[in-house]
Amino acid sequence: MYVLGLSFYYHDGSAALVKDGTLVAAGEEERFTRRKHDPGFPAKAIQFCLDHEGITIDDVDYVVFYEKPFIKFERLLITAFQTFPKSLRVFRESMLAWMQKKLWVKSHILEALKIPKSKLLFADHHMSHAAASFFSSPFEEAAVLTLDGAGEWTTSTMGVGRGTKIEIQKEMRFPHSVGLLYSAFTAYCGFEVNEGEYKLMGMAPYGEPKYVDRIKKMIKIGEDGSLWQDMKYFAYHWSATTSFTPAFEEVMGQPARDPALDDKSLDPFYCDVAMSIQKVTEEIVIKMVDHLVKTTGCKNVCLAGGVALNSVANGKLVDATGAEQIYIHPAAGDDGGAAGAAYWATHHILDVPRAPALDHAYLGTEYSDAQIEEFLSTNHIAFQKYDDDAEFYDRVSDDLIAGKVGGWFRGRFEWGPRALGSRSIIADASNAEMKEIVNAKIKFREAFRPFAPSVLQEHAREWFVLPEGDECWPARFMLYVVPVQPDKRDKLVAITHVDGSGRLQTVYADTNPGYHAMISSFHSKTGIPVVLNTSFNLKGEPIVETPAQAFNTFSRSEMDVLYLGNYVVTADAKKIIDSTPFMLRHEGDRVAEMVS
Amino acid sequence: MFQPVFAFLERFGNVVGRLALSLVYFVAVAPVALVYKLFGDALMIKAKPATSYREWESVNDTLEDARRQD
Repeated sequence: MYVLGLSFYYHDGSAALVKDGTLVAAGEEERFTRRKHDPGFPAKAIQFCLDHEGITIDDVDYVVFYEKPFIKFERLLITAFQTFPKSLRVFRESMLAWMQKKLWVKSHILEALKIPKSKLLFADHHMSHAAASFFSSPFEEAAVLTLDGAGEWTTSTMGVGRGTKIEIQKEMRFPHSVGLLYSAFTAYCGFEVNEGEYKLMGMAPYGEPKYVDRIKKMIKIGEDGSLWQDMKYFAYHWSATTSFTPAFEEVMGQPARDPALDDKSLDPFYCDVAMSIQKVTEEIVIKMVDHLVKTTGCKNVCLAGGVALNSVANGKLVDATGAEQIYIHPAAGDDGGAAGAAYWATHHILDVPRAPALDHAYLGTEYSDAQIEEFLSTNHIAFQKYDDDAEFYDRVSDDLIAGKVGGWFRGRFEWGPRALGSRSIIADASNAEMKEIVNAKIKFREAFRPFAPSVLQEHAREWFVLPEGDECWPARFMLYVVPVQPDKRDKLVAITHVDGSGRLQTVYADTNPGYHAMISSFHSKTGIPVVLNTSFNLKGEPIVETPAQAFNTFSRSEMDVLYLGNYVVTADAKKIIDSTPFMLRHEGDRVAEMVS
Repeated sequence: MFQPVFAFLERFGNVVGRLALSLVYFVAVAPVALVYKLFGDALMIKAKPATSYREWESVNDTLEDARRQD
């Protein structure tokens, strides 16, 4: 049985295909259209999913949209009523978007895919999140917590998953939202909403949590972690342009940081604000998880929704709560809603038995040696091919030891926002200069942002402080920030953040053998089972999908070497393939888009 | 040849659309909103509850439910 899940018209349009309970293909539309966070109908991602299985849309049993559009529309209307007359502009802007596109989701899908009405289903937004995490988890029974900006009405849910069913028990509703609270502080600190949240998280360790009390003047946190916001400080429910009011700035004591500064300063005040909102977020999430564990009796917890991408909070959950195991779907945000919708219909509605857990995120396209060689030859790009894998890994590790930065393109691309060793830029994590080199010359991004370590799973505990007994599922998907072992920090200078932490990815030989073998080769020569790993893209560019895109990004940066499968291309071959689309998008969402 | 005309019509349509929606806001939304503001608090702006979690209301457990957009 095939079920196709779709998410679009918000941000990160995506498609995901579930076959008999197994997620077999998934991808964000941005990878194909090359427009970052492309919210459009995921036509190319759908086509990829179908092609991967060698089927047509007629072979798909159900198509599932990840939310209920009419309920969201109702929320917009009621919000306009309650915030009248301040909501004129946001009403006008959101209604335009809804009249033109969002109200017609059903007819758009039916028309584009030419499927009968009976095959089209609609999941609840937060049920899609819950299903993505629970049904791909290894747990037969688990507590499920979802947290994001806003779905239809819902901003957070608590529930329990058992077998093929999920029972959502409680919900928190718009405008009280952990995700939107965090986004308000993202905007206050001068970053784009739905884009700059990672920057805020990366900036936090440079500050102290001095302003927690000021933040708590504007919100109330319940014993169960529930959040109530005093809306006189927030504006995202009525404003099209700002997410907080002048009263918010008054409480915080300084005006919002100028967005034009972007990464050009690390003002201590805003670093302290970043750390303060991080601490508040952690307090909320920890209280929620603890409450959920106590009330359900389940010590396995599945997290989902955009807030579950806060890997700093995730890394503290097992030690700070009654939870023993955590699982988070690799695409925890709205992109993963596509997978969740498909899982939900498969199991919860159709009662199809569950498949083994999703233990990797390699669900995208891949290119064969023949395709890579054809690309290189057609474009007259000099290359060296290694027929022997061991020799190739030996070459790569030698390059890294020599201080080279490489583009690593191998296997199926990753599902979700993280590069996990299929479309990665790699470097020596022990080289002190690498953080600056990769940030400034290769990624062209904020100097303060940390890089992630990929560590051989079998050595992870020697190098990182991981909770006892925790199988660390989120670390497979780079969703845990944990301390680097104190005696190893001077050996991992390029990936150890200012507070001694690292956002590790554990690499398994059975799910990514090539990447594992390469790091093993590096380990055998250096004694360090870790490499620096960052996504294979420039700032504002979606992660590369094809060999041509990888080659162009390699050419546009100061990377030293490109590894396309077992083909090695050196810097002297750099040039631009003009026929390959290239687009940078730095802006996030407008406030009106953020909530509608 | 027709591109400038289409571009103009698109911009014109956007302006007219915004004007029409402003009119809708003050003519159709306003009366409901004024009453709603007196008696309703769906956004829980006025309330300050001990917990803002509430019972999950959605019923979406069968194929029939799932075919609905609401």
